[in-house]
Amino acid sequence: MKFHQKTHHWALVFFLCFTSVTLLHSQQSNAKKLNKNFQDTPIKEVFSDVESYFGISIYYEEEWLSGVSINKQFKDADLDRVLYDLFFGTGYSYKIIQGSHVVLLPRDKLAQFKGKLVNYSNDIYQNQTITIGNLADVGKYEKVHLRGIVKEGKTSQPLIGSTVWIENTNSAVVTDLNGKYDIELKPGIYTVQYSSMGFEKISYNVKIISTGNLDVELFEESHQIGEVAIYAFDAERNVRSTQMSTVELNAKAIKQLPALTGEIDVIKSFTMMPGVHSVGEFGSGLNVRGGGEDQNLYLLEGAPVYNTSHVFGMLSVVNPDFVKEVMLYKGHIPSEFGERVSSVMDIKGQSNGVDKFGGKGGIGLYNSRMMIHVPMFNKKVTLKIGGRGSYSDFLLTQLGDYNMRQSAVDFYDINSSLNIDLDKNKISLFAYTSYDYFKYADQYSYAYGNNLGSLNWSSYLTSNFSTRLRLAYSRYDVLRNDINFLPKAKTITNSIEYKSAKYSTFYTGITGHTLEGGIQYIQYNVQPGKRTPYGELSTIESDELMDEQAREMAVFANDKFDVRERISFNLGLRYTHYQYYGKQKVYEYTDGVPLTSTAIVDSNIYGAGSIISKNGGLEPRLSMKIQVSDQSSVKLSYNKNQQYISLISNTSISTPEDIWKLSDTYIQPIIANQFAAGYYQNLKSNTYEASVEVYFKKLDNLLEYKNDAELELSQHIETEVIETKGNNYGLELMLKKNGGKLEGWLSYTYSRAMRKSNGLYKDKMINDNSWFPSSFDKPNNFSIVTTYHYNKRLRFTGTFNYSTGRAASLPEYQFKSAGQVLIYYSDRNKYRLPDYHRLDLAISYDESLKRHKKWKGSWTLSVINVYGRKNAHSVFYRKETPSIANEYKMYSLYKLAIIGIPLPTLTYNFIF
Amino acid sequence: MLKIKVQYIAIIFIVIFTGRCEVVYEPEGLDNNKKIVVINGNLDDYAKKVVVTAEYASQFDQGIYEGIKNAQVYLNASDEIKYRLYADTLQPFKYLLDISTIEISNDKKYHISLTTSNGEVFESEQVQFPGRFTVNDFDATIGTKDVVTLTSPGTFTTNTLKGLHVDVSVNSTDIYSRYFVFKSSVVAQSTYTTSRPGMPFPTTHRCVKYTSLSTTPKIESSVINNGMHSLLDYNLGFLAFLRDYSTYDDYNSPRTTYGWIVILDIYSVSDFTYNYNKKIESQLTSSEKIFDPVPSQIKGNMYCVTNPDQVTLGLFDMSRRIRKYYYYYWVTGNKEFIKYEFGTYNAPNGNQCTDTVPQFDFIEPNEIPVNN
Repeated sequence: MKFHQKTHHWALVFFLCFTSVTLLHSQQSNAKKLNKNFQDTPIKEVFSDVESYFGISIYYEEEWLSGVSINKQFKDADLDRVLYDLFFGTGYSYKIIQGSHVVLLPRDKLAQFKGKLVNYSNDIYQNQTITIGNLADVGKYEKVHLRGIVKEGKTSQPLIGSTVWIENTNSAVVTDLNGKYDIELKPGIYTVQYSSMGFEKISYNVKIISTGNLDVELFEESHQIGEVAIYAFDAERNVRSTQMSTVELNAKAIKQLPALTGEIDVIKSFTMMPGVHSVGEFGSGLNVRGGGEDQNLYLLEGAPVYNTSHVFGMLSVVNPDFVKEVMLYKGHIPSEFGERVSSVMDIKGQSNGVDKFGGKGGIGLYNSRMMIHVPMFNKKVTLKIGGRGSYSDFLLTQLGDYNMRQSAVDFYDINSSLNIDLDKNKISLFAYTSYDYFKYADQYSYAYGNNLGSLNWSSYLTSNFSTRLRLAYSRYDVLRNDINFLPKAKTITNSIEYKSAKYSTFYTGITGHTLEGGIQYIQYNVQPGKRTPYGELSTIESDELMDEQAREMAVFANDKFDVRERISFNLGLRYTHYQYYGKQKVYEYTDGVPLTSTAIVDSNIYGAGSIISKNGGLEPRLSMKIQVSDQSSVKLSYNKNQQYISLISNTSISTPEDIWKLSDTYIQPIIANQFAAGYYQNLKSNTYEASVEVYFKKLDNLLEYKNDAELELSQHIETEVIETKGNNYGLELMLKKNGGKLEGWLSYTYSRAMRKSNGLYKDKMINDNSWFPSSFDKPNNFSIVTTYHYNKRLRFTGTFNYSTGRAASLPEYQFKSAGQVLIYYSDRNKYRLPDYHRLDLAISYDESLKRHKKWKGSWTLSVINVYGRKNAHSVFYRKETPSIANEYKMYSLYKLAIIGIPLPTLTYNFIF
Repeated sequence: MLKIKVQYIAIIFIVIFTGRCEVVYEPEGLDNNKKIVVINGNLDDYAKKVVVTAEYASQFDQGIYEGIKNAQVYLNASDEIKYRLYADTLQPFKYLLDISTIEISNDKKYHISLTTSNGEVFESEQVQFPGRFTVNDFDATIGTKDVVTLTSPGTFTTNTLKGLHVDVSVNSTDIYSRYFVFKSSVVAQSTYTTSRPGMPFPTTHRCVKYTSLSTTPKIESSVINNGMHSLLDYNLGFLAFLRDYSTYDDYNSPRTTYGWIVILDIYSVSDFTYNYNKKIESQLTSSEKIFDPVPSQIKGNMYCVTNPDQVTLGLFDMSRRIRKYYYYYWVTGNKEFIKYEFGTYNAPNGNQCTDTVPQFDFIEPNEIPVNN
């Protein structure tokens, strides 16, 4: 039963108590017996009769008992009996003072007065307080549970991962897969805040007397397609969670970021966050804290994505309409995740049930997208399906470059999910496929695609014990046609296949502990390369490298707990065991000389299934939080990760044909040890969030390409790479403002990503074994993202990003050899490309703000690269014909800019 | 219920600008003022001489080379016998040694050494002759090739040219003859006639023009075929007709180009030289491509003895070479090109037109030996 009361009367109660004691004279108990029958009699009349019959006075607030009627029959009842019967089981207690004065007191107020029901809320007047439990039970329990479900207001679907925070305490929980929450508290009065990314926060003052439920509904923010939201939407989580070094983005909320192709890029949006950047304006993937693209594990509904880019990085392969939540772990990676050393990006789709047919989509300049959801079987089953497709070929015909005009670009992706809600069992099936095709003139063409699938089965066996089984499948295929010269035309393919089974258990039955444990099995199959002739004229011979196989097994455990009121730990441990097995051919090399093709002395063929090499080890994941104050905390973390698969590339920007290589006899797993510390401070009721993090990451067994490495169909790729070690370190600053007309954030990162070879021979040295910056080394990175809400429909967004130019090797000299004039390049990454900076602006207009309106549209006009900065994508040289125009130079360096001018786009997004 | 607002589906394309652009880039602080020594040497069993050039590298964009004169240069055998090279009188940075009277052993290793006038000593790594090989076939087939030309600003035209695709096949039973380099030059011969006042007959002028099958040396590794290292029908390039000979029937009409003389040098090189040339090929063909490999340093096998930290460029290699001369000419009656292989050729000095009949003029097919 819920009561809504105005409770302005503390002073009156105390006054009554005090004056009663002092004014009323001592009196013997009245010996009168009351015989009367009250039927639907207003309590005020009952009090009046009782007062007149017993000669007493009853003090109370009329509004407390407004509308209350009495149905009681009294027979030979004395005053005590009458009062007891009137107030038994109600929220009121009474006190007879000096025999003739009866003071009525609300039980909770009395408990507060006695210190048994502490008011932890922000509202000392307790306006609009929701009471959980029976007032008659005040003081009856030491501990109570506040439970409930957080739902999306529009669809009534549960909201997973919503935060339920008890203000002014250290208590917070996150809703589970059913949107349920359960938090243990002392009886008291609290301000409880419910929040979920993309939804308006809501706070209630809750008076909890006994265990009870409070279900709430959250509604999307008034801007239905989001506004620029800032990572860690729940500001308090930044301070209160033991987790550090995370970046959280609501894909829905970043849809107003200016988009290059009229398409939102869920993954690349993270480059505006501290510690995250990309090598160039285009290029696949992210570089997190100085790590390579291959050091990030991108999980889409639990299945890894091996190429995250459409059109070589123009936009990511993830349909933003499918995404509900993206979490990037760049530091303290939970023990349930392994496989990569730099980061894990956990992309979760909207997997909850819905109660009616609907969808969303967008129409852009280069591609369009659509996503629909269909509830079935009394909402127990929900089917979601969506896709994107490009129609950008025509744009190529507008380019000035002849070769580009003869080229083609095409892509699509389709994703679907089927969610089955069986009360205590939730099953979701996910499938995804993507395809990219790119043809450059009559020279070469690429085709590549991801195919993903996953099954997630969550079982809630008890209120505090649940399990989850996750089966994941991923396959990535690449095809390249070299068709420049038909007699040598060839097709090169490679692929990687991934299968994983993970079983996790979650237990919250021990007060103050959140326990998680599980096991995982991963199977890798890599086809490193296959060559076939292309066309009838080709004389190329077919060739194929042997498939590679490996398995990775892991056991993991994690516990989050408090050791003191303000000190919390998150301790995790992961153990992995890796096996590389046949069938495979392994070369033997002459001892004491570098691994080169000329040092091969023999080879061994390992049979199918026989173990060739093993590896593994413990991976501790530790973090500690010290809550300095309610609004600030200090966090420390250490984690170790091992990675058994690497992307071999000899280009500065990742390409689709880069080869995934498993660790083997000669190529050791990458090992990363990272230390991080951070200070988090929220200000002005969480309006502002500030954080500073420092980190140091030591990397071993990194692979760098040899000079002019020949990677295509290399039978012994270990001869083409050089093992290096790396030191990545940095300082990350972030200041964010939530709410108000002007929102946004500033971020600054100072970071270095240095590499060093350790070879004994020239062939295995880079820059003579000196430290050199990696291609991902960009020391200074500064971003501003702001949104100004002119009114509820119209808003302006601006983003600015500055970073130091990436490290590069540049031509220094020319010389003659072998009858040619050649270029002599500098030591690796000795120079830097010009600094990068770009300003993007956007204006967005929402058609409707009505929450329950079925069709909501939003227009966004954005201008990318407002001042037309020609940021260097790459620097290349070109032979020139010496003339007066080029000062008789034989060579010139050129800077290539992908977007050299302001680029406007207009996009229409909708939801229905 | 889905309520589609059709009017909102219409997209307004404001401006379509895709602004890929490139601008000249002049990096600040380029560290290229050092004296980088470049030494190239070759011992060629066809030319029967050792040629070593020594000069300083130029700044990247300048192309100004300073020769290293007055150096002492030696060819050193692994049995410690050494032969002095002497400077060329016209090009004093070029050092020569005639080896026609010296026995260069297949079993010995050789290296060169160079001491500059200021006492700096440079040496190469030791190298050895690669294996021997034979040229099995050299052939050309009439075909086409599309060539794109910019006919006006923004307008490209594709022309399909007829011509000859030229192929070669080589093989070797020597395991040390696995890598080949092909260099070619082509002399295109043509005629035109002029009538002079007072002369009873028009005068025929014969012109020669140098061209090539490819702008850079072609490098290829062999494959094992029937126990031999072989390279079959390796394409060397394309020779475009100046007119369409396949439809040319009028025997008496004036001709333009009527034949090509292909001067082909085929080298068998070591694996190091092969890799060195592959790097060169990679560098020469890489420009303006987004996905070009990251540039790297082309380092040969030269080093500075007196200062090992000093960067030294260049390559000393020993190669087997076979030179071939082929003459291709059009036979109107047969409507085909005829190949004629010959042993020597006095190549003209550059492009020229004369009234002199060249060494190989148009010859009726029944007048010369035909080598198919």
